[in-house]
Amino acid sequence: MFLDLLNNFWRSTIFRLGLLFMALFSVSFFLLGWFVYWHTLSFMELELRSAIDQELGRASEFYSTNGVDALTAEIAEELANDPTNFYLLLNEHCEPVAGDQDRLDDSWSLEELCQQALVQDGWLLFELDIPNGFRAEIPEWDDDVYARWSALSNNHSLIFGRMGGNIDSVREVMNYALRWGLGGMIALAVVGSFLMAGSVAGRLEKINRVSRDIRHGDLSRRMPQGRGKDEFDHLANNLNEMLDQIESLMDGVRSVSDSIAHDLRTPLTRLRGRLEQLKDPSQDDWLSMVEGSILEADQMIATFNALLRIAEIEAGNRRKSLQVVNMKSLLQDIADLYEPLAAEKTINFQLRSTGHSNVKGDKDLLFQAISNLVDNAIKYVPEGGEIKLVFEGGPNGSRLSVNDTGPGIPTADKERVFERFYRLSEHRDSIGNGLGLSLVNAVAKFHQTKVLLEDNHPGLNVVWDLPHA
Amino acid sequence: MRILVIEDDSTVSQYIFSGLQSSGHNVTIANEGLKGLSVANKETFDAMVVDRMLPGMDGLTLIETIRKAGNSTPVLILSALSDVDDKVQGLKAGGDDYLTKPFAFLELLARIEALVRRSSIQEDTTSLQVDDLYIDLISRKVLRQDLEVKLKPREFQLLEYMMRNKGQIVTRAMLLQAVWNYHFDPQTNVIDVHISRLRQKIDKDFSVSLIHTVRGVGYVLGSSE
Repeated sequence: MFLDLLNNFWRSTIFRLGLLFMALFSVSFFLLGWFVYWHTLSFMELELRSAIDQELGRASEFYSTNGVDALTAEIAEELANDPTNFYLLLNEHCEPVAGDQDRLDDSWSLEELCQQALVQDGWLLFELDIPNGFRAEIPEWDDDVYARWSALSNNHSLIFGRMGGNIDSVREVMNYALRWGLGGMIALAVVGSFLMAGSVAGRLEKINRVSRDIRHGDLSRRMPQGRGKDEFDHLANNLNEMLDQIESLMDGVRSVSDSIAHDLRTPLTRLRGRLEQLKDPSQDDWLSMVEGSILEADQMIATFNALLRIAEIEAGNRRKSLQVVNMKSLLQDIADLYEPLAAEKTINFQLRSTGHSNVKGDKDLLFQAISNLVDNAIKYVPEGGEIKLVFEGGPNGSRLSVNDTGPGIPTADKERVFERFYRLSEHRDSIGNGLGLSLVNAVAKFHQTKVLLEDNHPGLNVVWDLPHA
Repeated sequence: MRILVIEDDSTVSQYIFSGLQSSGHNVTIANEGLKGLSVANKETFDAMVVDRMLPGMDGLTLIETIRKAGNSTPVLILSALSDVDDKVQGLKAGGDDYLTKPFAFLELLARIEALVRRSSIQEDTTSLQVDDLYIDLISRKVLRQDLEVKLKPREFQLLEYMMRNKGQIVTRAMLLQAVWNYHFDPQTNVIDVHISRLRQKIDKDFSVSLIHTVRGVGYVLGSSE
């Protein structure tokens, strides 16, 4: 149980990152601590040594002006005042003349001291007994004495020492601080890593749980959003937006298949009825019924073709076929194709194109889309009306507009007319499959543009901005 | 005409077979790619109808193979794929025309006949004549009973195409494809208005009509039904 939990934590990236940071931090803390420790101690030692040298200098001066006896008296006085100082006046045979050789610890002999003094430039380090009266003032660990041997004349030499004072206590305190600081930091880092890993794992688990729900079919679920604006909230936000997109696409697919089922059932029912009647070949209008059936089937085929075409365009597989299209000549071809149809309905059809004529696009798709727009206009503009096909080429992009004096599209329907099979209620009975504008929309999206439907007061103004080649 | 049909769907091939036979053509059917290839290599045909997706060897490879072997028999490709890219691929592989399933038999017949005629007509023709209608392809002059008829450029192209296919059905899709070189499906029968304009100029003032409508299919240009 506990091992499992530990194992889980060990697998957590955050936990391992936490530990790594802890390790790096500890190393740097240790280095810094050690640096401070070392510098502080060496500075204190330096200070002590210079004080010792100063005192030796003073004693040497006193000796040369006042002689041995005066110095001996002075030493006795000094020793009575301050037991942390140590004086030992020796003769040339390393025998004590004055001072407190009695306080020397048992393990040290005078011969040893004199020998060492020759090796280490006179510097000595030894231990002293502390007189009883002063025990309280001097901590136990500070009985080390820093001392130096110095020759006063050919006959006499002096060892002056001073107890280490607080060097050792500082060393102890710093050791103590370093050990506990490091320990505390490691403990904090471990706890912190656990907490961090736990909180991150918790938030990720929420996201994972929602993804599982979605995978099991509940597409309405969304990632939980925190109060803050951190990375997890950004992630949740992005995932939610992606899910919204997917849901709307799926709704689109569902509504398309619903529409297909609905809109094709009607002609299929009619066709089936006709075929049933045809079982009796003696009827007078047998031939016209056969022709009617074929027409019905043809219209269904056309509807399917249009649907497939839209799907194919929306899939965007043909993006590679983008090329430079001369819009002026393309629009002239459209005008040539539709002008007679407009004239037959006594509609005044005009084409006006100015400026740059090249756009980047797919020639066949643009022709199809624009012909759908013109076709629609001719279908809905009443006799005697007007249709203007206007192209204005600019250096940064071109604007195509098809405006007419027809009935227009009510604002409420402007977005919906691009949906597959959607038709304005007043046109439900006219010829058409409700796919013309869907195809235009698909072509516009294919070119990464948008077709806008504006009011022409009266009529419709279709505006389409195309990218410059 | 001798026509080779390579199509694996037996309902479709039977439909094509009976239709072509009742129009007086001699039809051979192959239901598999490699079989079709060996028949095409052994015998000579006036035209071939090849399905794109075939067992054994796919239609495009088959066409490429016979073209490499120097066989220039006109080929009509049949396919359930309507993508423009597919059409372009089919034509690049050596096909002469492309028809998407499902199709009307008369459309298929009209296209096969147009293909065969196109391959037999010499390209250096400078004038065409049907009955008392004469067009000069160089000066773009049109004469009916020696009276000049003024035509707009598109009307001239339509008439030229119909005259090159005189006596044969040309469908609306064929006319659109020949005169407007875009791959697109018009929402309405926009081509009908063009034909009726052409009729106004060619037929209206004369006792004999040359342009006839074939209901549900297209048009025929000729002196009699």
